[in-house]
Amino acid sequence: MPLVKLYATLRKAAGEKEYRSRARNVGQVLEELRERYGDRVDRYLRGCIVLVNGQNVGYLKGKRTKLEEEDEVSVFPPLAGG
Amino acid sequence: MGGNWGKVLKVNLSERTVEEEVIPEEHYRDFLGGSGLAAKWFFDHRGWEGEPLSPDNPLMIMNGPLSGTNYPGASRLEVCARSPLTGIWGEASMGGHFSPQLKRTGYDGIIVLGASEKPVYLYVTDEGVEIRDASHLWGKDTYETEDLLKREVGDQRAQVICIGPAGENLVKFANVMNDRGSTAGRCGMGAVMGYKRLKAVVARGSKKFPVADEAGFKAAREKMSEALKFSMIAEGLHAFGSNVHMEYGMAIGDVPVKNWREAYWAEGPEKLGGTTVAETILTRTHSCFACPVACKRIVEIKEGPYRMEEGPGSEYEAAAALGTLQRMDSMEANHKANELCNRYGMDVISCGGVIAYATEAFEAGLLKESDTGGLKLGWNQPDTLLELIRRIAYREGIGDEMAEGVRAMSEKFGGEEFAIHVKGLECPMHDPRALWGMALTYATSIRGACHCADANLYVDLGLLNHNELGVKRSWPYRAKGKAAQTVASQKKGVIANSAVICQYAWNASGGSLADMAEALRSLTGFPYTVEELARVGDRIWYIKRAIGNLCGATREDDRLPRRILEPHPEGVTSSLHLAVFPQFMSMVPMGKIRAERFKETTAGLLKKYLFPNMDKILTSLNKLPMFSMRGKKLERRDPEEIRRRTVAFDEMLEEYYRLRDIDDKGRPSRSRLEELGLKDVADALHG
Repeated sequence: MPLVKLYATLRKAAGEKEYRSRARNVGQVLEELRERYGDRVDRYLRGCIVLVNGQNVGYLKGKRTKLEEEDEVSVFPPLAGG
Repeated sequence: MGGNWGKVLKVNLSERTVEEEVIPEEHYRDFLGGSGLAAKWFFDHRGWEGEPLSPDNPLMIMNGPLSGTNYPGASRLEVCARSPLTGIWGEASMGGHFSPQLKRTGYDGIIVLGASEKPVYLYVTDEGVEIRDASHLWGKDTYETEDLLKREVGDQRAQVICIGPAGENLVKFANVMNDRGSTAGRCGMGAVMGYKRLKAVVARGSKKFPVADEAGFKAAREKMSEALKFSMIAEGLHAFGSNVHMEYGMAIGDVPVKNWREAYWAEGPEKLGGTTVAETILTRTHSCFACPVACKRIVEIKEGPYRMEEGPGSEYEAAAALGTLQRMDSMEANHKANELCNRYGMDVISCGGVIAYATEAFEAGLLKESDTGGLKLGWNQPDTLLELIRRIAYREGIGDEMAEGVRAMSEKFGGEEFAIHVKGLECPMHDPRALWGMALTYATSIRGACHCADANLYVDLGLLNHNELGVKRSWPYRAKGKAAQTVASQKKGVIANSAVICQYAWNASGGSLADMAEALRSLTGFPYTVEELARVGDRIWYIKRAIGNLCGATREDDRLPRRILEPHPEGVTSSLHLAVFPQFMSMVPMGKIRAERFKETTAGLLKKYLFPNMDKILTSLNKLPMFSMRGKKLERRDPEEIRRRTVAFDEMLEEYYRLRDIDDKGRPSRSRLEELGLKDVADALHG
């Protein structure tokens, strides 16, 4: 099952660092996050950045990007620092 | 005119004189304030004719119209001079709490000329300025100096900027500190102060400056506050500091590891990132004046060899430069290293850069134990890192060489291919191989390799756009449109450093030029529009570029080290662990090969034949069972990964020169300068 990892303020809002997902694609991960954590994560998912194995899904198939068993899905709220 | 006083304090430490200099109103209109106005003053007074460490080099401590206004993020001031590290225009922006106090004394800035025979400090109040003896402070670190001076002037609300031992010892990247954790970090402004034997400036003021349209400015201020209240970027900065970047940055290959050699270090963010700090050693957040973002970290390490009392912790640049760049995994040692740099008064980026260079030089046999006084340099050696920081600050042994910066050191010891700088300024902790915009930013930023001079970092991260200027954002890994994007980013960057406002606050609120024009219009009374402000941004950029040329910079200096334009020699960001390229590169001990011609030829062949055909090679290899690239990461992106890490720099730079109208000597054209009202600059450059 793909591993979903949460970062920064999204992690703080969810109260959890990571979990194993049943999702088959990125869109399903985002729906799953809303179901799992409710309204408190909603605003962090708007404009969030999703990487699958370090690859921004914007360069793949966006929400339709398929996930495989051993994939790692990293979800970041919009953030910048540096 | 509102927002500005219309005058600066001019102090000559050789003659022990103080006078007021009135600045013409049109200079404020055309150059805003901050580093823009400083550049204009520097040009008018032919500042490039003075050597950086000489009495003739003017040190300019400048506010902008927004300083002291309670506009969110307006906490900053600019410290400018000819840089002893690079030899060209130097500027450093500093947050904290000094800027409003200086503004309230009735001056837009202080220009310090000459050099004192003995250590002094300036005490600036509503009544004017005194030059006071600082012999009793010489040798003290910046934390002690600030505490002592506040006690001495009898006012805890007075604010201090000061140098530490590094500035006193003329370390070329010595900085200027305020409030323990705010720093005018880059370009060696602390060394300029040290040369002048100016230990500190203390300011305490209470005067109110005029505002052209009070109601209009109040509305602009409230609009900015509202934008920041709902900004997720601001929220992330508040929760985790600028080090919120570490996890995402590492995932996309933006965080330099092991002197820019290694592509990806999975454990790095867990050990050093902002989330980990928040869960362990963070005691509270802290903010600069008038800033609701409060991105500063205060940490405490209660026990162990890297114990530190509660105080400022590492920002992202320090977490990377004194952490991942050294391949060092101790969070405690990283924050201790940051504290030492703050106390000694040194730029963490340059310090980290020169230490990483020295470590690789030692590994390659270019530096020996006889050079390092028996110290064995190596990766992930926290105690060595801390000892080197101390030796640099006091110019002891190898520290004396390192204090000159990575360019000078590599010219003496070799290894120029892994001395990562542009124009002598060590590169900040963002990798052009992840965000191609940074390649152009580093090459063409006025002060050398700099990530703050423009907004390209935020644009390439997808967080800002230039729609207001009619410029489309270019993809991070594409050359097309990158030059136009960079020009637009630079307009915004110079406005931020001249208005003066914190780029975190402005960018987190959306980075709107229209909002900035509205704020400056209501504050100053000058009829700024987006177009006019963009023109001001251009004018300031061009005068600074010209100053660089007058200081000796040419087109040849707009180059990046090859290492940060080509795929990493070590490690992978995808499942390339069996790919030919990384194996080949790690088998060739380039650092040990002294034959320059051989290295040049090999690199040229790789660039011409291997990289462009990498996808074909990998695709063919992938069909062979022993080279099957099934790994944890996606296979399909591997050829794309190679393409992405090979920055099309030359193509982007040529387009940039065309847009900027830069000639073959690297100078802006006469016609472009005259269009912007810079005829005198054109005459100085072109005769």
